[in-house]
Amino acid sequence: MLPEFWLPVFTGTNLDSPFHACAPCLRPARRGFEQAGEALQRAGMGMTGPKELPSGTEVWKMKITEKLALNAFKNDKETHITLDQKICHTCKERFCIYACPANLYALTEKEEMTVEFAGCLECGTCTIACVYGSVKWKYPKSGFGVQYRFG
Amino acid sequence: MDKVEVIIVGGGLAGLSCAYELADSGMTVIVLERGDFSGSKNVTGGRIYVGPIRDYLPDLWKEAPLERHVTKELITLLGEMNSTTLELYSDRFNRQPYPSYTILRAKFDRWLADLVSEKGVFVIPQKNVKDLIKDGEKIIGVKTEDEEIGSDCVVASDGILSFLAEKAGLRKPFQPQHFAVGFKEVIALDSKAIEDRFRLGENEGAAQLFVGSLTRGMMGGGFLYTNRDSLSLGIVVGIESLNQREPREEIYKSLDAFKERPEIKNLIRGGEVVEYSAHLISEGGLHIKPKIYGEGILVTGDAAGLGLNMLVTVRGMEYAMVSGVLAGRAIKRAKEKNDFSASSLAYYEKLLNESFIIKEMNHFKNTLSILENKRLFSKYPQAISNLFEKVMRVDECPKEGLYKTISEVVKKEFFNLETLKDLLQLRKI
Repeated sequence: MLPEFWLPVFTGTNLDSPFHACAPCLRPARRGFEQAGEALQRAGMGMTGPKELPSGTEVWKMKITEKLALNAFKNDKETHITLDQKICHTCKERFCIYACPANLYALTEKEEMTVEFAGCLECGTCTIACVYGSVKWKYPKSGFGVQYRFG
Repeated sequence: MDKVEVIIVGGGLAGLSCAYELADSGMTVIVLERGDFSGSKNVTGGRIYVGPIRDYLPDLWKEAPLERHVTKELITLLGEMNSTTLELYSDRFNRQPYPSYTILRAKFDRWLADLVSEKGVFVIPQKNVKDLIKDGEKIIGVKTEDEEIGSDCVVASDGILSFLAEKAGLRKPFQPQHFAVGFKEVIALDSKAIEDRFRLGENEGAAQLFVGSLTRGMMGGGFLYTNRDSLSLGIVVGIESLNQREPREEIYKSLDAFKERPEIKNLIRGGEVVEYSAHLISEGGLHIKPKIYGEGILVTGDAAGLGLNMLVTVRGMEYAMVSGVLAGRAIKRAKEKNDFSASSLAYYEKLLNESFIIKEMNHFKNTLSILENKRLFSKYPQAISNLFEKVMRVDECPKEGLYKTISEVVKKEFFNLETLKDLLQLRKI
């Protein structure tokens, strides 16, 4: 049985993220959803690679957001990662931005640190890389977060 | 409050192996898994060495959904614009019983959970354990998001970030130098193409490690494993080393740059990325191993810090499975004596110390200090590739004698106190 998943909820931070679902931008989010759905189906059927690549896409030219859009996510409305902005304001190194393999951390124009939790791969690198203790990390609620189909 | 005899927190390899061992014990055992199914929250590079664990779990391996048995081992030293690869093929690797297999966790763990369920242990998905229930120092149960369950013994198999080991007061806070992040893509590729590109027979597999310029001076390396009809391609980087790297660059970009290298490009051409994943890896070894038993609690697998970097390979999955089995055995003995106190459960540590796990962790306890040498990830791979290139190159200039060519490079790159010291360090592993 394949797990159910649904379109990730708008998280309000990064409009370039494929995980938000506001109307004008529904197309890129939905495309990611469709890709994930197709990949999920194929995984259930004993996957083989495609006979030919879709034109223009080289496997080594994928963007990070495109890669994340391939995964199956079930996203909660609440974040599972909280940041202490008081600590972030005094941080010069911004370890989180460089350490997150999913590129989820970003500074807003108002110099606030944000994390696009909807794309979280749940590795926990950020909570260790942040030596100042700003990242309070816990696992998403049961039934939410990334669901790996290959691992 | 409902009560069972054993609550296993975490339906990964350690938790499920413990459940498997306890399945015929007559005890009431449940496994609580936070994902939708076992494996949905797990990641491996990866490859599992079945050799050391066959005897502990003898009935598993005929039916287990493993990928390919590994017959080829490759190590690639990457310079900026060149690379040298050492390739080992052995008939021994191609003869039953096969020593190791490539593996995908969502598939394998899920199958193992089904097997464990068939044997009568409940594996309950979507159960995130939030806290332990204590009576003084004794652990008497767990709290999930919506209920409390009592227990005689809790087995903390909740992975490398184990919140339970923390809540039980068994482990210290994490430090960046003791962890690495591994992140990878699973790239779907026709099985025939895989066999052609890696020159493998049917069902045979290759495991390739990369060290050098791909990690841009940071401690770590790359890996490539052939699954049945996909490749696992990824990078591992030490977190402290990541934090210290200058100039700063987002780590995810290293994998994109790695894929563009001709050595990789031509292996993945025509493939399709189907998943992107990441996971932590314990690098601290015995230095960070927490206390692994307490009143009414045992800690197994990655939660117990049972992972090891052996330089030529990384161990974790086998340790998880065997530690789960040993925890199961310790629990059976505790049940016979009806004593789940720390002194009774200490038997688990005794079993672990006598096993290959702690012995190996002892043999390789100096790996971290060796890995601190940045030259391993930059200078040496580059110098060795340059040497090989000079030996092989024929161009407009009359080619000089081989001894001259080689000795010039060796004198320039390797004949110094620094390299001598580095060589002497290798005795530690």
